[in-house]
Amino acid sequence: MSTLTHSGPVAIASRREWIDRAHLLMLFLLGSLSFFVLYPVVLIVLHSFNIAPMGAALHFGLGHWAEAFSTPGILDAILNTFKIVLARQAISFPLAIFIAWLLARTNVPGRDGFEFMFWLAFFLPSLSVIIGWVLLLDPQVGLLNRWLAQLPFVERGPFNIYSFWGIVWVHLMANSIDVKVMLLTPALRRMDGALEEASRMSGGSTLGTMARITVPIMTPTLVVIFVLSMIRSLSSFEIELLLGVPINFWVYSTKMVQLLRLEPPLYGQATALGSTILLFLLLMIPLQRWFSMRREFTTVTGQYRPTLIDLGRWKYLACASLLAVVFLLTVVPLAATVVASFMARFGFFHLPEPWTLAHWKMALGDSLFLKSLGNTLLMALGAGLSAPILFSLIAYVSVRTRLPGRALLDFLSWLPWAIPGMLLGLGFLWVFLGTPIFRPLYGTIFLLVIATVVGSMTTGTQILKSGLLQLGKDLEEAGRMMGGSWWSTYIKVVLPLMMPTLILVGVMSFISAARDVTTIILLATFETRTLAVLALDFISEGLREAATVMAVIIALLTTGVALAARMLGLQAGLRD
Amino acid sequence: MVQVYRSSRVLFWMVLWVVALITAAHSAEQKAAWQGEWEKIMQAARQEGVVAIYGPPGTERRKALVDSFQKAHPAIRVEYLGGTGRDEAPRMLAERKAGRFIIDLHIGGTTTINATLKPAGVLEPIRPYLILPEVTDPSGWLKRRLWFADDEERYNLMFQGDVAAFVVVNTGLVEKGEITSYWDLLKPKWRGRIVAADPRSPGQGGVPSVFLYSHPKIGPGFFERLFKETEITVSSDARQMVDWLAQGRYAIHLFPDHSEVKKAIDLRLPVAILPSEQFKEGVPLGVGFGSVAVLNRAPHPNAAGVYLNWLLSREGQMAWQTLTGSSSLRMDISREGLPPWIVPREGVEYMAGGLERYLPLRSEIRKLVDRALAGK
Repeated sequence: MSTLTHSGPVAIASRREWIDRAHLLMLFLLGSLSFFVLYPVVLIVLHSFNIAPMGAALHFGLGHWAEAFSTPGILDAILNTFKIVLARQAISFPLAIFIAWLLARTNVPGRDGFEFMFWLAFFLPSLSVIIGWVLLLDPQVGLLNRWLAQLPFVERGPFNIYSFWGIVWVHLMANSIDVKVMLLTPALRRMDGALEEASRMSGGSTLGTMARITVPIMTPTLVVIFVLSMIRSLSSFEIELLLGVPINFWVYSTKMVQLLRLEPPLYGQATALGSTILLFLLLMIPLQRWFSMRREFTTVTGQYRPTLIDLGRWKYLACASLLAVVFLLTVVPLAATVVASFMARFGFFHLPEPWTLAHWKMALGDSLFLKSLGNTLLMALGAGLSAPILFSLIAYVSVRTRLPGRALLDFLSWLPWAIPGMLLGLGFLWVFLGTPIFRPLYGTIFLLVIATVVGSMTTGTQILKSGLLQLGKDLEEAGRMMGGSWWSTYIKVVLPLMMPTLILVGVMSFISAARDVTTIILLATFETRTLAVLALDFISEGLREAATVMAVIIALLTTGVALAARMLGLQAGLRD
Repeated sequence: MVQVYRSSRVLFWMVLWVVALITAAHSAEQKAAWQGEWEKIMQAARQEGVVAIYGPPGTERRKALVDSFQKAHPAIRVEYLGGTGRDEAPRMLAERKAGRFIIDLHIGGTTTINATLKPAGVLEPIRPYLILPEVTDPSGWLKRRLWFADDEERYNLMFQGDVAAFVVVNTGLVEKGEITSYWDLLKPKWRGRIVAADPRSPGQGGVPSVFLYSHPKIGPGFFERLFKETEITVSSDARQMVDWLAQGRYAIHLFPDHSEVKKAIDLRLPVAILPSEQFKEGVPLGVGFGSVAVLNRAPHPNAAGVYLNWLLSREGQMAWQTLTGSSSLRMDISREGLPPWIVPREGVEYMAGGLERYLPLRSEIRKLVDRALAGK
């Protein structure tokens, strides 16, 4: 009994069987994660100490670390990173909590549609968001600045996207608010309304109840999202690269990317910088685990009652505000992407013939297009179907058992999040080529599926974990008391309750795989290239408009999947 | 006297006849030698059926290197993966370390080949693969020689040579003839008005920065001042920089991507590249992605030989030049359609900045720019 949290009258024989199976499952999970996650990460860390030239025999030393941290401007870059992270989180966190609360706990009109739009925003490529906002907020040619400059009392447009606040703004629009809303809304929706009702009956206001009851109950999810955002902020780089480098504003990740873009790339120094993020992870994960485990956060129990708060007249204002946020998050980048794909040169409206179909003809007529589309679908489907199964097992074992090794399992599931995609891809290359059993699979879609599943492991597992933490054990216990084995309880009780979250995780994995370039670029071959890799081909020739055609196609593909999954999720989930 | 004269004439014609016979026989023998070798390699290549290449990224480059060859040699399938050298080199080395010898040829920039592949000992000497007379005959190439980037002139053959004029201006903001020396860029007038490709990264900034840094009349002092005093903006996005220039955000763009500049000019945007002759210090010659190396232990050595000879032939170079818009180092092909400023000319001295001997300068330049930008 020491290994399980289960209680109740379960036969000793079946318990032993469960323990044996559970140990086997744990062994399988630990083995898989050690090989597919820990091994590449260890190789990356080891490489930071390898001072031999590329291709030569290993020779260890501290040279790369010393050079990496004596790079001019590195301290400023670290400081800038924390400034950006702080500004992003300080604005996006309260805003996202409020939006998610509106969507999940109130009767704001059109909440299902709004929630879907936040999903859509999350699935849009960062590049689309960046170019969309550059088109509007460029200090000289930004459309919004131009329009404002035409006003009689305005001399020149007030916005400058190439600035600290420009970068923060694009972060908020690209990947700070939407992801939090997406993760928080299902969790908030599963919360038992009785708690809020009790607060209001005791005289608490709607907002007071939200602050004193709803938010504290959501602690595990909030902590997970906070840690996810913090760690990701250290390794994400696209926005700072395009908007920060031109104003000599460097952050930790752009310094790392700069090292990787040299010729030959300074992998040693880049891996030294990348390994430091792991140290940060080592501090954050136990803290997050302690925070989540120190008390009960059950919100879905056998007496579960989802109820909505009536906002009264305020619901129209809330609806209008949500409409404005959704417009900024989705319409601007989507419109920019679609417009770009039809422009002779994006942003140059004054050309004699600014509109053209040439980029669509070029992209769709490319001899590799159909093959790349097929590969993308195959890889994304593989990831979308296998990821929820694997992640739910990891989450279940981490949260619902006392099996030895569960803390290690939890820690391993965090690792991929801390390593930038480019380094992770390199780690996979070494692992797959260095392991004889995997060599025959080199150059197949299968390896790309593994790489992309690992890439989305942290988010997927943590979402499922926070969902499980909110799920009362009484439901499972009731299932077992009815004579069900742990497996049938898992299938018949846990999975249906978790279905919306599982579908969410599946869709996220599908879309991450469809969009992924950095993790798979070193693993894709002439037979397995995907649409995102093809788009990279266009970008490398300056054919940005043709690349946006690929972005539109990927967006259509992912929107369709998200829409289908959402309909499925609504049918399968708690809302009915 | 007449007799002597007649005898001499007869003797002259006889000698001429003999010489002609010997020359014809020798030439026939030579012809037979290369033809025999070519037929042998063609037959073996057809049996191999495949040539595997890691090449540069980009659809047009892919079309030039794959589709054009496929038309000429349909019996040999090209397995091609495009990417940057910094991705391909570690991948190739990891594959080989695992005993997977997949690739026959690497086509790309000289830095990857000389800084990574050559020191790793994975390259094969290239000359034995060159068979077709039109390839081996130096008279077809600029300066009547084959251009190697490696010190030993064995492993890394260059076939592209763009005159790397690297100062582009917004025609509405810079007067004609206003800049005739690189030193003019340091004038206070241009403070905050220059955007440059990051010379620390590979690509368009590499060759010009080596040129400026090593030029006896320019040198590191100029370079440091350029990055420290001019409030220069550095970017790694070639398209973004040309857009900024066309929009008037900046007046001068250094180290441009020529294909980006050409696209802007084709759309009649107010952008012009300052011709090389305008600069008294001269300009370098850029290789871009136009150099090739043969991998040792190649799985399809004969197909690699056929491919290499095709690539360096007039037909292969025309395909490369037409589809990529880059100038070939072959001087015996048409230059139609190329921007005139990139075509090298006989009689002009160019510094080929992509040579192996300049590699140590790269890290010096990187450190100098790091310091200069951090101290701004």
